[in-house]
Amino acid sequence: MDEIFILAEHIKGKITDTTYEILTLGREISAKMNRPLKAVLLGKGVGNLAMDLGYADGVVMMEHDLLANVNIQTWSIALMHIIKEKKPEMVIMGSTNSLMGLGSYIAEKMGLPYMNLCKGLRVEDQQVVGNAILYGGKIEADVRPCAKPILVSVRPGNYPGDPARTRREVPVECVTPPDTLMEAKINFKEFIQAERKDIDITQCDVLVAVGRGIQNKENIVHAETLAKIFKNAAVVGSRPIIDQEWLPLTRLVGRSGMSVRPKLYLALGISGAPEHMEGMKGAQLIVAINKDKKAPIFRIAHYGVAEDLFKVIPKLAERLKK
Amino acid sequence: MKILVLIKMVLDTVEEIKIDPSGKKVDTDAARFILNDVDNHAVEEAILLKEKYGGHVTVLAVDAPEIDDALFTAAAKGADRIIKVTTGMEQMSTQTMAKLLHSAIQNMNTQFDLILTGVQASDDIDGEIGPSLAAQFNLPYIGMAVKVLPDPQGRSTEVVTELGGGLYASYRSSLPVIVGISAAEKPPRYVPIMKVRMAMKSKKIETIPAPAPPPGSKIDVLKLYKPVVTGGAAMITGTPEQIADNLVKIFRDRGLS
Repeated sequence: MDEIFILAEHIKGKITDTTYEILTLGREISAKMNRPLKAVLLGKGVGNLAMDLGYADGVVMMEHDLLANVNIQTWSIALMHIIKEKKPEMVIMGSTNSLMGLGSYIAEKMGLPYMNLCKGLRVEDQQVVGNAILYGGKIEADVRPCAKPILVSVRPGNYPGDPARTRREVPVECVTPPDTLMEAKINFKEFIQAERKDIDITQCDVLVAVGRGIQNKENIVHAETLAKIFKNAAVVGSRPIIDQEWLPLTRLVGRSGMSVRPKLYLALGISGAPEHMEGMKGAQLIVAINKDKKAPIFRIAHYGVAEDLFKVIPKLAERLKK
Repeated sequence: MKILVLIKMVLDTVEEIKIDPSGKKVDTDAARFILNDVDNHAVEEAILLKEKYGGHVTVLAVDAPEIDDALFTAAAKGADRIIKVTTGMEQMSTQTMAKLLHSAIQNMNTQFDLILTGVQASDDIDGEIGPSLAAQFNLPYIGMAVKVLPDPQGRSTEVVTELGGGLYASYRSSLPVIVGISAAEKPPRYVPIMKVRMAMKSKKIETIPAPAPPPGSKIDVLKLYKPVVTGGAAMITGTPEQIADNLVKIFRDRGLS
């Protein structure tokens, strides 16, 4: 009773990085509230993954063919059953692509509070307060749940995952799958790995990244000019650029694209939506040029230039060529 | 195939966003509203499906500033019916909006095969529209979709979702299903303003009054605030020439050029 649960996410038989991040957060909350921390593991033949969740005090596991691969519908049914049986204090999950919608679905079905888009959680007087990032990172909110159990989704990249990578034997409680699982209308079909017909941007030393501020497709040539001056460099883009097909999908940096850690990430006209920053905050050097001096990208950049990029780029290219 | 698209307006995050004196909501008087970007993709995907397989597209939204423009633009792109739910409420949480949409759809008495909406919005503080609605209708939901491939008989559909890093997962669902669109198969089309004006003359926005206000959110907003900047970028100022010189020095010091 009153345990802190985290939902383990696994893709192609591997526990995801975000799972370790929320384990770290879960441990922090469980220590402050003096409650046990349990990892919920859904799947089929995933017993071997329980050891990877050794940072938790125990694992609550449900196995069924229909749970084998991440599936919002079957996983919701399974998790709702576990919530009813175990009555946890809260369930923390990653705000990731594969789990997107799960918290919202369960919240509505069970009438529970759901704190979405959080970057963190804190405990005040034994009460949990969520810190949500809204409006593309321009506003934050402190929110409090009105009931229990609490559902929380936490954005990737806000807690270190490494401390939680503890392999050890942990007590595993198995929960029998409910009959309602058979009512699911969605079947997982397959994973599809996109063919790489382009360079691998994760292997580049320098990435010149363009965002909405580049204004039109023709202007991308300015970024290409800069990229050509550096060794092992490429032009990449944020979501709106790829959606407009100004650059191919292989050049997308962010949650739905690639996570990159180049020596230099030169961000041109990128405001810094949280989903984009998840994919590039690990770069060794981030330099951002954006005329909006309040653009969120400046919060994680090492150097910033709040100027019209079309005035700065030609001068920069000219001097770099010297 | 009968397709329903749900759209909503969001604050343009390119603009400065102000907080209301209450400290608990944003100041919408000072804000600029735009169509939620992924909702624009949902409209596009619906029109593409209609072009490919035939069918009927209805676009539904809860009333908000500039929503008429968004609805007429959808009509100019090929939507057959445009409808808004009038509420008299200025701001509402996503869960509340999903409840209003739920009762509006029930009142429409139409059996839709496919309900599309943007996968998320920047103000989804207590949930997303798609899954919240799916829970109320007891329908399946798939999010992060980049492809919707209905079978010719119109009984089921394959949906391809993006997981990131070049990895995709595909699912098969019976119809009806609610799908959260992350990106349409093609970039959302541009419609000339002339076509939008024509739609304004030829199409009418139907209105559905909202029922009694639904219960509020299950979470309390304690306060909104601007992010506290710790560290942050060292800002380089000066003329474009001086800025360029400084940047080149930073790059060269690190052996980057």
